Amino acid sequence: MFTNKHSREKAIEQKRPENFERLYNTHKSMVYGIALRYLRCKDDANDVVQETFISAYTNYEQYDESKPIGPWIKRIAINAALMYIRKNYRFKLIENERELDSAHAPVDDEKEEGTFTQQDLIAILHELPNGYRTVFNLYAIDGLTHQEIADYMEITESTSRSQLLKARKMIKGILEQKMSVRYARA
Amino acid sequence: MQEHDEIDGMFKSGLENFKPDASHLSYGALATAIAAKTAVTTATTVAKTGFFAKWGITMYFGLATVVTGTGVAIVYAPDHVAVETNNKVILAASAELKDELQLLGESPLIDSTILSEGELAGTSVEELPASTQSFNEVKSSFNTPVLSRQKETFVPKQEMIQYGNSTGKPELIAQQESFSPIGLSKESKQRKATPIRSAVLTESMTELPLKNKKSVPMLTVQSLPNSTDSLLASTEIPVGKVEETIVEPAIDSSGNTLSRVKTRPPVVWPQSKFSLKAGLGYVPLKTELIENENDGITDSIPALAYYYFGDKVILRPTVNNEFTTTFSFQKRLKNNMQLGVGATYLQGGWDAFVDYSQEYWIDNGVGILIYQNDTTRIGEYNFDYRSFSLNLFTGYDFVFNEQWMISTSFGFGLNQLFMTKDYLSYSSNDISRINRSDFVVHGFGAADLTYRVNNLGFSVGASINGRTNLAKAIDGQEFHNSVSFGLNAGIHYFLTNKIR
Repeated sequence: MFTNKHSREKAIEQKRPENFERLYNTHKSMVYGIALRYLRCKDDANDVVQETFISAYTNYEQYDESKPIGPWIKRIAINAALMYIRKNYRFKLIENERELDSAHAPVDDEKEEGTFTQQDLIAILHELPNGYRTVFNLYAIDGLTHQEIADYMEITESTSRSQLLKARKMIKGILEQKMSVRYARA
Repeated sequence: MQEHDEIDGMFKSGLENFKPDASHLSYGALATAIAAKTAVTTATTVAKTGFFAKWGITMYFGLATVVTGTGVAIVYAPDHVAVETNNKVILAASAELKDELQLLGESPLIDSTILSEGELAGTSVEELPASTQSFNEVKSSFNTPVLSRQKETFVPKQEMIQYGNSTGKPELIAQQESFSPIGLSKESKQRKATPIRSAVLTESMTELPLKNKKSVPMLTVQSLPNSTDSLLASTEIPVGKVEETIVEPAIDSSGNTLSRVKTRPPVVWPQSKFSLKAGLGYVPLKTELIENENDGITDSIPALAYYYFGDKVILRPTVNNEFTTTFSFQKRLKNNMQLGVGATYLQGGWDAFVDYSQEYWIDNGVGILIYQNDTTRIGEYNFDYRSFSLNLFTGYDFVFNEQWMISTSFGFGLNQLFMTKDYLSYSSNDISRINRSDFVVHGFGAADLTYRVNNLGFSVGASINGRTNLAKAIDGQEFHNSVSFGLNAGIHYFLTNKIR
């Protein structure tokens, strides 16, 4: 948190176009990756990247320069992704997986049995309903606790646990399906 | 569990530092978006400032320094104060409003007399810099009464014109005074001024260039004769209380030196009162509460194709309200502070439906897990509670005039609480009842707008109550909020009409 005039001046300095462009180019891949994890569509991910850096620009005074900037931008990116989902997605915690049966499209291009590329993992995440995917991302990858997830998503901790459990079950099913396909091909 | 960790670990190691190719994202688009957003923000600020500064009606609520002390003020500022949020502007706005708004704790100014310059001899005069004349007035006061003479100010209802002996011109009797030094008989004298018609006088006074403003403290007298409509002095000026007088010298168009005298009599409110207030309260509730949950993932029954099932009992409250009535005695202390004691009766309760929900996963035969959730309403609760409490409170009165004031109070109470909890089972149609009692401490705050008519007064107000352990005490668990919000109305009996 900026507490003196000197820090504010540094913030203003950092927000100059040439400096902010450097910041953008350094971290845009990381932010884009986060956005792709949370959102199913690349265009949506592009929007989230833009929202993230606009938010970073307008709130740069709040950044504590004694800490690395990467986690700060990552946090903004997650917030921006969640906000985007709330605004634009039909955000519903799926309760009946019958609706999702048709969404289980096979993922090809496995390199070898038992291993999955980053693209494979992203594809699997994209097969999850919004609620499952969001909770799984927050808990398993971004390391938030159920309490933090509950605060983020305005749900109860119990719901967060339930959604995570269901997400894992579904992922397991998808993984087993893919493994069986590979086995059959082999 | 290990399986879950493996899944989590695979995704975490694979995607935690996932940085796909983002070369298609150029900085130019972002820079344009930032510029557009900044422009919109700036335009909004400019439009808002311009609107409120010129045409808008501004509502301003906040903390402000009020006249002679520091207090909390709620100020309505029509039209001429731009909304800002920093303290300097708030204070500046307060100062600017002083001449135009009736400030808290003050009576309205009474523009009563036009005096000649000579009459100001011997009074305390303080000059102000010209730059502050527009919205500042200097005030001073005494707390020690020194009664030397009685003064009555008389202003005729109609202009009284007579021909003066000295000038031979018609003169307007602008003021008649009688001075009564203590122990001596009254002496009367008339003062004369150049005749100015009332309408013209009013208009010309507003246009007169003020040289300075002067403040003269004036002690009130111990007793005054009964007022008539021609006497401007109040009949209820309290003993020893300072009456404030402001003198503003001015020069009219003929070059005569006149003085404009404004008096601000003190506001008189009785010292103590009995109050009876009743009100309704609202207690926010959670929309649902999981009372009991079995989230056991170990209850899989693969042989029956059940992979997991859990169950939970959910309470869904529907109605919640409170009724309170309070009887209190309240004594006003110095500086508008107050101290009170009271007794309160509180009654409240709510209903809650009880739903039993069972969830499970079932294999559809091809390896896909299907989630099922069955919910059944199995009964309802009825909670009812009553409490009796003794309260101690204090507060501050914001006095507008002798009829209106806002009285604030905050304090705490000691409650003896009695609760009944009925449960109606839909399956058996039986009603079971649990009675409990408990001791609860509660804190509260309230603000009441009070109107007084002689010894009787009426009020409406809002209150907020917080109970330390009400929810636990009445077995309401966590969905019953320990804070309630209320509206009330009251009737007040004022014991005396003499002392502030």
